[in-house]
Amino acid sequence: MPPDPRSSPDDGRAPREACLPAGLSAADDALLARLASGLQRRGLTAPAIVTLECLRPAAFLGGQAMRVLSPLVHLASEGGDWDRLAQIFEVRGSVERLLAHLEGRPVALAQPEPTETVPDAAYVVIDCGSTTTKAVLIKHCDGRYRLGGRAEAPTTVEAPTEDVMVGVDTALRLLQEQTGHAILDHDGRIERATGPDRGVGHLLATSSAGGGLQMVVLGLVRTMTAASAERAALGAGAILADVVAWNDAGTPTERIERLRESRPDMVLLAGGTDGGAIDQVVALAEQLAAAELNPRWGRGRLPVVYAGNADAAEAVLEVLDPVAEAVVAPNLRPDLETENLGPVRRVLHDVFLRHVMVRAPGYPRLQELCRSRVLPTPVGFGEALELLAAEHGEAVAIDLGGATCDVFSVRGGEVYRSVSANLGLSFSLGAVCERAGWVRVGRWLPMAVTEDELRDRVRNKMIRPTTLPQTPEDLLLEQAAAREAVRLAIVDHAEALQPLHGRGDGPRGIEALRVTEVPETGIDWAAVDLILGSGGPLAHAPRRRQAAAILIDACRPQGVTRLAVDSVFIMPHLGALGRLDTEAAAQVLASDAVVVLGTVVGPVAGREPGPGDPLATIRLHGGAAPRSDREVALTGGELTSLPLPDGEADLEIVPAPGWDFGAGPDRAVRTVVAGGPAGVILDGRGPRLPWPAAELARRELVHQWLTTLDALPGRDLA
Amino acid sequence: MSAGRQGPFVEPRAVLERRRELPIRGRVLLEVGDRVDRDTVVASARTRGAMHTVNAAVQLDIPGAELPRSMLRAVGDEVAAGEPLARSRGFFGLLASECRAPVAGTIAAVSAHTGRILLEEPGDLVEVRAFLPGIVTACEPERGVTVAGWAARVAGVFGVGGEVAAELVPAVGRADATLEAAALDERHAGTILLGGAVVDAAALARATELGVAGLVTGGVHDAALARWLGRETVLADTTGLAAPFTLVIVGGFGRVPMTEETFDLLRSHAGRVVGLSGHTRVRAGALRPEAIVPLDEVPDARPAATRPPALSPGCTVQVVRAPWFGHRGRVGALPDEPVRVESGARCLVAHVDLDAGVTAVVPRANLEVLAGPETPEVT
Repeated sequence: MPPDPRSSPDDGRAPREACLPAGLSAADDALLARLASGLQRRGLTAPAIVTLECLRPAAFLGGQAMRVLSPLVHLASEGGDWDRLAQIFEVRGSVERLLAHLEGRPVALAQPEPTETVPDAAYVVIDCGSTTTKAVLIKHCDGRYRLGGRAEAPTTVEAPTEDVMVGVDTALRLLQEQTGHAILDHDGRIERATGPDRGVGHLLATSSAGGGLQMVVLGLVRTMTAASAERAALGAGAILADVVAWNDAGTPTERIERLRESRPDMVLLAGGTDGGAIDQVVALAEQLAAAELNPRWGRGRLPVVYAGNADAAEAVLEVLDPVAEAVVAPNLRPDLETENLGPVRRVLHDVFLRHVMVRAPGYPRLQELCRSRVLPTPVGFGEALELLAAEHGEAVAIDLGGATCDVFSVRGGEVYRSVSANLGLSFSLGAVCERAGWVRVGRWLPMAVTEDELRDRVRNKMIRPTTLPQTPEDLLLEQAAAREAVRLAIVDHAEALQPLHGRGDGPRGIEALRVTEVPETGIDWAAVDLILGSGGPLAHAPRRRQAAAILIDACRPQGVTRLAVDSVFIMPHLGALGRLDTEAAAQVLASDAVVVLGTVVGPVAGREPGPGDPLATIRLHGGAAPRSDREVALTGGELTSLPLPDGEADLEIVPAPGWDFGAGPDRAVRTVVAGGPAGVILDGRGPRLPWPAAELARRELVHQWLTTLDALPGRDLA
Repeated sequence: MSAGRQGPFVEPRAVLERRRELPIRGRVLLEVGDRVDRDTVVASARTRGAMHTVNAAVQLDIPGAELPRSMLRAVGDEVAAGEPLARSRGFFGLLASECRAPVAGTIAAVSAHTGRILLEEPGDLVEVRAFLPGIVTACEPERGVTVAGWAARVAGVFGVGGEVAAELVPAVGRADATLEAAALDERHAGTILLGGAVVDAAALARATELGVAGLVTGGVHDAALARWLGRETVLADTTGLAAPFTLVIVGGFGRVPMTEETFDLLRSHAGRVVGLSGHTRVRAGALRPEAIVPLDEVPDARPAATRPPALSPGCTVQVVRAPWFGHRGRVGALPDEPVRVESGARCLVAHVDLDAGVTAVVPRANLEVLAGPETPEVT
């Protein structure tokens, strides 16, 4: 089990002097231990670890550490230690030594575990989802890593089993049976790798079991610190149970009641800029303390991360200490113009592992088995998407599940994530229809259905969420709702990505407080090179073309965009693997995880194409299609496709005057496009789909679109 | 976690076990072996009260840091409404001002940083009753007890409204009948009604007007339900949803005839007091509604756990999705390989000899097992 960061760092066992870094005496080590203990007592373990980890690559600078660490050292050490600490940090290895004391593993550092690496050894990666635990084998063969097999078993973190390891063991045994690869030894322990074909080099895990990391975030101003705290929590892979702001309507009593109704794993408290007034954020901490929240799992005090005005940290810790396990992170809004989320995310992840994960039934044993930290599933997913983006360019991923829809976008190397809590296709199907409106869902159907009938079908899926659509009508209904769920999740993503209130590109200073409307922002679809669909309704649509049709209709891509699905849902696994072996993760992503559906071409927003308006002449050269060279004149309102079942082809787009297909108005686009089951789809419908007013005309048009994309279910519904 | 329902759904005579838990930690009032009636209180707790913030430093015109020194009462003290909480020193005792408690409660915190006092009102008493007559078979300290008792039971698939107990009165004569407003009159006030395939919007309104305590029905149209509740049920979680009376749906949304077994079992208990719970939570904890008719016996000890019937050749099933929604049948074959069904989805299927006289290929995920293969032929 990971050590309690508040316990004594050396557990009474003195580290062996012989193993200390050269130049560091036992007395120096004792001083580092005392500093670590002081930091721990003040709840500063997490920020200190983050700071030191950031410093590690520049460790050769030695004493410069003192400059970076000075705020923490001042808080946690005696005045007389200052000079000696400055000298100690001149010693190579002293930063690692302080880290070891902070992490409660001084002996482990002194006697490092022999690390035996077997070249090309297999990896096993486990994702403990809320419903199923999925184990995958990543194996080296023919000079590269490939997916060697996949097995799943029910997740067992909740009653009656209440031990995540039962599901993990079952999944590992199934994986061993299915692949024939030795994963477990006779005693049921992980078999050590002896070569590429036997044993496991590293076991890794991600988890969203038990509903994932449930968080409540608090801030002073909804559109400023509360919004920044929300982004930090989402970026750390959290599901938000509530966002509470000081400037929300309602009395303190109502705020405390709201907090009491939530049952989070962890709380993030933000508020105030450094150097500003401390009263409000301390009062908010008092209200949080008054709510006396209990952690969702196990007993003990609730972890609270404070990432607000640094001047208020001491007062906030004093208020929270009796009821919460409070730690301090760097202020996420040190001034109005700056949002500093990275360090807070790392502290959240650290606290999640140290305080939340260890309380969840069975997790300490899972963590012991893993060679690196267990990641929240969405973090794994985001990191795999980053790998994909490095190859394909700007990317957007949509993970549509039964209860929620996550949207990830990668821009300029940063991953942004939003979670739409009640946009899913089983438990939350009713919420999708309610939010979108029954008419908006119904308009995607090529057949006549009354609203009453639609409502009854939707409710029946909600109350029996594991049933499957047997009739074409039921499948069309679920896929209609999928279009609306994705569309709405993208709206939520845009809202989460709005310009920073208080910063240059958004409302500034006090003006930010007065702005209530969300600016029109979000994903720049013309810059997106890849849209990836994940989750059952997209990755397991009966026909791949149906997934492509849903993504095109919901996202309205612009320019030239590749479409793909995460066919076996191993993105989180590959994100975890990427931390250890980026090349192996990239190889499996390319060869096994991502199925390219095809490419879609459409005009860039800014002009609405009228019916029949000439938009572009499009030529496709090469590829293994029936005809090697094809030319199409794309017009407004038109949807058509060119078969390109596999491989790649050269695409040339010559826009009609005034039209832009990604290279700028009137500029031709020449690129290589990927084929797939959906081929190359030419979409001249524009950003706003041309819905006819007449019901019969609408049904005919939807039928025509589905026919063009070859996305109708089993039989024709005309 | 599984969101699929597992049987048995209709039990004419069984020993049921129910955990009766407090929503918060409290006191368990009984011990293992104690006998309980429906209304016996098994555990109680007091909720936390509303919090009041008193801006004492502002009222006293002192810096926040001086508040602790100015307090007349300490953290943890109970105070009456209007009682002085803190007093400023003033100028040599002159011009001193007081800050008084706006409500009766306990002092929860005094802040030297913000100069505020937090006052907590007394909470409410929460009591959990046995609901199922029988004996206590297990106690969980501070949480609640497990009660076991003989009863007949019908499982619902969706419901609204909390626990209620009242006389059961059939309001229709057949399992496939529609419950209409014209069938209801003053005699139904305070009773639990037994409906058939569907209840219409007018009947729901009339039942509310009459003060009906509950209703068991095969189905209801969602539009009628929304109109009756005055709101949409957007999530499959009704634990916090207020309803005019407790409604338990045993089939699904739309017109779904009750199975003869269900209808006949409930009708056979007409005139008896039935316990009804409408609370439903499909996800996370899977809570489904039910109707329980206690029988006049008390089990001697904790019953042995029974396994729900598994899907196997010869077992009786009900189809819970179109195109055969609501039909019953007997399973013939269970092919090992996935099959592509009409929608194009590939899935494991069962061949089912339906009561409609046809053999249908149905995704296994769309079947609920009513009884194992050893039971007699479906009627």
